[in-house]
Amino acid sequence: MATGKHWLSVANAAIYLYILAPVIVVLLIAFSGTSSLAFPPASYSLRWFTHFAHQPELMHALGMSFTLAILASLLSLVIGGAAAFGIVRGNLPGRTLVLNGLMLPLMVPALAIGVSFLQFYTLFGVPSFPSLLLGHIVITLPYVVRTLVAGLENFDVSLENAAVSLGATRTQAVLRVTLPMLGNSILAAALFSFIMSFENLPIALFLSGPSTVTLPMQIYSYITWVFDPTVAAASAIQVAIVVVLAVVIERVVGLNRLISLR
Amino acid sequence: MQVVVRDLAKRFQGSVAVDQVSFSVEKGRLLTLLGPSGSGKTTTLMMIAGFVEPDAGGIEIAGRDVTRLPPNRRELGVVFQSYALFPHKTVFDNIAFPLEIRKRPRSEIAPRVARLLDMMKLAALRDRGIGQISGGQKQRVALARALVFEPPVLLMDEPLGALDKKLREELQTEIKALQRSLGVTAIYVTHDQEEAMAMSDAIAIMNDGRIVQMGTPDQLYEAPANRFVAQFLGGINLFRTLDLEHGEDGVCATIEGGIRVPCGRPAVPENGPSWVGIRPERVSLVESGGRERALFDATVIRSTYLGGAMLYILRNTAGVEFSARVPVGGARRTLAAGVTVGVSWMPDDARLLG
Repeated sequence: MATGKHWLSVANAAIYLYILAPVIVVLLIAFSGTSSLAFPPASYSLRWFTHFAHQPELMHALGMSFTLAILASLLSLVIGGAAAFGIVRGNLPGRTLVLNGLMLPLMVPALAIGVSFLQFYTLFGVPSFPSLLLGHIVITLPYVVRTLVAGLENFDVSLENAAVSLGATRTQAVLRVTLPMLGNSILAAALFSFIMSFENLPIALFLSGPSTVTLPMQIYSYITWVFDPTVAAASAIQVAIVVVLAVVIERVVGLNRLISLR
Repeated sequence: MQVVVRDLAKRFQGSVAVDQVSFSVEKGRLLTLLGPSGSGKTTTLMMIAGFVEPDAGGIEIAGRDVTRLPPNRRELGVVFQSYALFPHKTVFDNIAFPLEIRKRPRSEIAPRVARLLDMMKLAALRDRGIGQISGGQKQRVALARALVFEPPVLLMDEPLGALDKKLREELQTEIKALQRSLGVTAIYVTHDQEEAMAMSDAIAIMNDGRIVQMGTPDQLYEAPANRFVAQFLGGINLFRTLDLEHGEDGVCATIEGGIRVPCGRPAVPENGPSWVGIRPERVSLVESGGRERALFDATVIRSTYLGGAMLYILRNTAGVEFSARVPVGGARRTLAAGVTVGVSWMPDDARLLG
């Protein structure tokens, strides 16, 4: 028994190491004091972060990625939320078909989505930013729909009915009872969307224009020309944002769970 | 009449859930819809509450036709089986919800909620979360929340179903007393016949979507309209009737085995009676061939000790099984399995059932 448990934790540690080691390498290189990508770095400094901050293209791309991820998440929440309500509450005959359709972007290779969007949007002359935003909404929607459908299915409708019987309109009941109680699912959906959009390269590869370059896109083109730890710094910033978001929301969701569910 | 329901009907995917249900409840009275699961009692209640749209029929509450009104405008207090308390709100905020929705000023909400908290013995729990209180307390909060806006009618859907027996009995008394003292008209749904008997001014027994019989608890128990009502409410022994004679002393039935039993002057069902029914607690067991004349002899098959009484399962000479519930104590000796006893009952206690 004791040795079994021992081996289990060794295996655990090995798997974590396997997953995290490349990230740790990048993080360490980001703090390198030299201009080579050698690992481990000969010395440490913050110079590559400063360098990053002085690259207008990278800073602009960071801002673009932020804007895009926030807009894509918000719109995904609105569209996906409405879809989830329809799928769970509505009496649609093609319920599963609609659900599977919305899940499709998870199965189709992102490059294929990028190419098809490029052709489609060019055909209709959609400008770069809206097409990029629409593309990101398509890839973030499955995460929102999946999370909210699960949340709504676990939600006891009699709570909403109780609110209505106590005098609330259906809209008031949804706003004051259903949505607050789905808070965890909504937060999780928003987080997923943000991260998926923030890190996405394949869509941007096809739909980015000169004024709408995203951070992953900018990093990608930067390393084709220059080979210094600036990209590592950029990646470190990306990782930091995602990790901070995950931790913050884990805290909030965890706290919420403590308050609302026994 | 505070609530009038006329010819209510509802089908779900072709099968009848509720059919021709009509009843009315006087102001301040408690009516129970009693029936087995699937009998249409909850569907009927949900139609009154406005969550299920009836296919036909009408509903009037306090003289107002509410049939096409959305649930939030019917002014009904509804207590759901699952309590349906808002888990993200405190006890106080749950009870305050109906007043907040009605945009009552804070200065009015606080004392009204406080009054109900006191009435329901919940004052100490006002700032607790819903996850931190017990099942019985949750039910009290649900009741307080449904009553705080002073609706003229209270609807309760198996509100005690999830609680244990002792707590259930306690709350039955409490709900009944509260309903009386507030003078609120109530419709109560349950499948528990003892609960229905203990709480109701009137009971409507439902089966297969229809009301089978309606009356006060003792009317239903003493004069069941048919076999279903008699069996559902309290249980009854049934003997198939072969022949019926109307004599000077009343009706005399011949049951299986050629046994003749006097039945007093009972109501005779329209289609002709096919059963003689007798409640287990009204069967008396006497010494076989003794001084007291028995109607017939029977053998004890098994017995169950119930505390205050013994429940005997017996079989008569015609092979019909029936039960007798006999008080324990005094000079009575308990009977062992295999013993043959005489069986009798007062003629007026027998019922003729269709």
